[in-house]
Amino acid sequence: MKKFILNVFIFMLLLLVINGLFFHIVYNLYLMPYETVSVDYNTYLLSDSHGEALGNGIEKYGICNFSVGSDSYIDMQRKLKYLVNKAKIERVIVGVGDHSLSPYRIKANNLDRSVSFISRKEYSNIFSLLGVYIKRYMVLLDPKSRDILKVYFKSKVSKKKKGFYWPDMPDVFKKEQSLMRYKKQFLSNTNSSDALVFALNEIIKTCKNNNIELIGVKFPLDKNYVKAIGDRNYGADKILMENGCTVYDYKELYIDKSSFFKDTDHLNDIGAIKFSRKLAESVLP
Amino acid sequence: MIFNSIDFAIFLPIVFILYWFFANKNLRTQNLLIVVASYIFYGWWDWRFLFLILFSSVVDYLVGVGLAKYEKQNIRKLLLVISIVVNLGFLGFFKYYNFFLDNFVAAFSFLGIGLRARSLSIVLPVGISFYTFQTLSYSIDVYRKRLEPTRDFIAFCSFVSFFPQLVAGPIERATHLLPQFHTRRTFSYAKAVDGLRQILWGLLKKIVIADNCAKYVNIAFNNVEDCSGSTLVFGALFFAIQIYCDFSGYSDIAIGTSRLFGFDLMRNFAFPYFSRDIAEFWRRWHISLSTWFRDYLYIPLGGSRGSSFAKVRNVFIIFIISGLWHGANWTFVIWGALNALYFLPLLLFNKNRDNVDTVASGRKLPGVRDIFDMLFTFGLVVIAWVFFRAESIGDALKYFSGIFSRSLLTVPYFCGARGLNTTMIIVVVFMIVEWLGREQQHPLVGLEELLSKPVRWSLYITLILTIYFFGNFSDSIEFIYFQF
Repeated sequence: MKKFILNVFIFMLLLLVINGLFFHIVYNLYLMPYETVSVDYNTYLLSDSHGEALGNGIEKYGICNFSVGSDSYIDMQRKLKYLVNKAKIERVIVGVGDHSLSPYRIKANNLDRSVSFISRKEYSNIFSLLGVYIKRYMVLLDPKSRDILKVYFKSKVSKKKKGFYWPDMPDVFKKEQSLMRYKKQFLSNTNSSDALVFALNEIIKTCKNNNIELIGVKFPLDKNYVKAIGDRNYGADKILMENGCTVYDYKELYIDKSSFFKDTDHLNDIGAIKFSRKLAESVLP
Repeated sequence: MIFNSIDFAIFLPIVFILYWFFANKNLRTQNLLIVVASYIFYGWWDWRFLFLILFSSVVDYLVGVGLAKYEKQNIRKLLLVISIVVNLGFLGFFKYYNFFLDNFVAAFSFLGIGLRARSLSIVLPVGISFYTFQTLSYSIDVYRKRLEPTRDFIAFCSFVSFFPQLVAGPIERATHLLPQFHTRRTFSYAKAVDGLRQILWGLLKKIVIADNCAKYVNIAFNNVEDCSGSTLVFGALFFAIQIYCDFSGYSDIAIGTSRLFGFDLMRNFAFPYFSRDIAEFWRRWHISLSTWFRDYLYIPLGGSRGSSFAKVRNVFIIFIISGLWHGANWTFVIWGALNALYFLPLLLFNKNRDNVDTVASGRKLPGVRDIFDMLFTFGLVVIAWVFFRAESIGDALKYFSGIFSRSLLTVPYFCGARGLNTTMIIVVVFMIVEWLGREQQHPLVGLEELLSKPVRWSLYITLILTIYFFGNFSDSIEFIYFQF
């Protein structure tokens, strides 16, 4: 029995070493970029991939871009709480796209990463805290970490495929892409997600309680996508307006500027530079 | 609790430590621990059905005690009937009530007689078909005086509810498993290591092969009209692989887990897809069920003795009941009947025991004749599997007509599923490994004689990483045989 236990123990240690190596990759590739934020700013942009597309260029105007692709309002709420405790925050800009309250965000989000912005005291019991730690550190038990590692190893063995240049794409392709994107983000016959509405209201409440100015922004979209969406809107902008917040609707700002986009609903580098300036001029005093 | 879950990964070491470190002094304590662990394991799904197992255990235990006490044949018969009625009564109610009711009403309405009957919304208790047959084997063997009835209720409960094989077998014979609960278990290093290897191999079969094949199978069987003939052929082939890896994977984990606790369970699969005829296939597929039916139904009916009519009748009875055992659906009946039709010519021409040894035994490659026979048998099995997998007979026929269409010679395409090439490569590699290990209980047996420790451990880690990187974790896919 001793021999068996010893061998199992050594084998487990070996697996732990492999787990450690994998965690190192996952951490540097996936967790660290998400968790790293400067607390020296007083204005923060919290949004999903639409905000992330602006990159760091907006920081020269004094706005810290804390947006990450797929961030939901639940993720943003966690980040905001963290910032309230750590930074001298005066202003928060949140993305209020027509899709922001869509139930699809309940499936595609960053809840596994934004947990790092929750303090230990906020966990209801030791088991939920333990669960979070196991999921984070035991990457061999986490399918999402597995997918990240797969992408990493694939990138090491095969060349990156060249992407397309959106402005040069034929209209048929753009329409098709826009429609596909629309179908993904706007599920048929669905109302806004209750959990996301709750989180957005919590963001509003936190801002009010801490005298933080909350501003909503609708990011520019390609004309094909504007057309595809039509008047579908899950109503994040309305919730903000009902609570007395200013909302800037820039959805159609670059309606005829296809060259500002990298795909149907994200700005490219040129668009990001232009829009960062526009946004800073609008929201900053 | 399913084997391929974190819950089980936590549960198993806890039970193992308690079993060998805290309960090892006393046999009764060890058996009691097994009962408690088994009830927790089973109650993880639905604790209400624990009463069913407990009731079944109490009835069969008392029947056993009664059979030991009474010598009069009519009393003994009555006790056996009680056991059969209670066990099959539960099984019949939970599994077949709605099926027979619906068909009864349909038959009467066909004759122009309108009947009103209300189907019940019944939840099928997981593994009921398995433990029912196991307890029945006890009552029948005690009745036949092949087994001394046990006076130890705890040992009997552990036999009925032994968690590694409780929900999907192997269906153990009381003569084989029950005495192991009466004997003091000693820890065997070699046995435990082999058990862990078999668990690893079973997990690989389930998570990497079966669950990846499931993606394509579901697309093919759920979208028959939209799939090309070639896609449907691949769908059927993938189902053959899926059901084998799913069920034999479960059996491997069950047998491996039992070995960790010092038990030996019977073998349930012996590389059935390397069979050269259908008789050999049935000696290698779900062995614990086919031998159960052989011992408790086929032989009492007369087996292969008697007139040709009796032979044909017995074969059809056994295969159709075996089909119905899998589920209350006509598709299973057709599946059973089809297998009977495959089997009959072999029996009638005395060819059913032509292939009792392992194919190409002692050789690396099979002969041309062996290859042809294996492919032919596999083809027959795949055709039958289409009925097994389809929701209805109509769906199965639609599936076949979809196969024999113009699109049969096109490139298969599974809309919405990625990784087809990877899955095919994995399946081919897997079949090669199975071929190489076909003369053993599982391909990882006896590695210590072939490989040094560092190489062995590297192999285990490679297998674990294969599960990690290629396993399908996207949905929590239960074992197919849980529904039976």
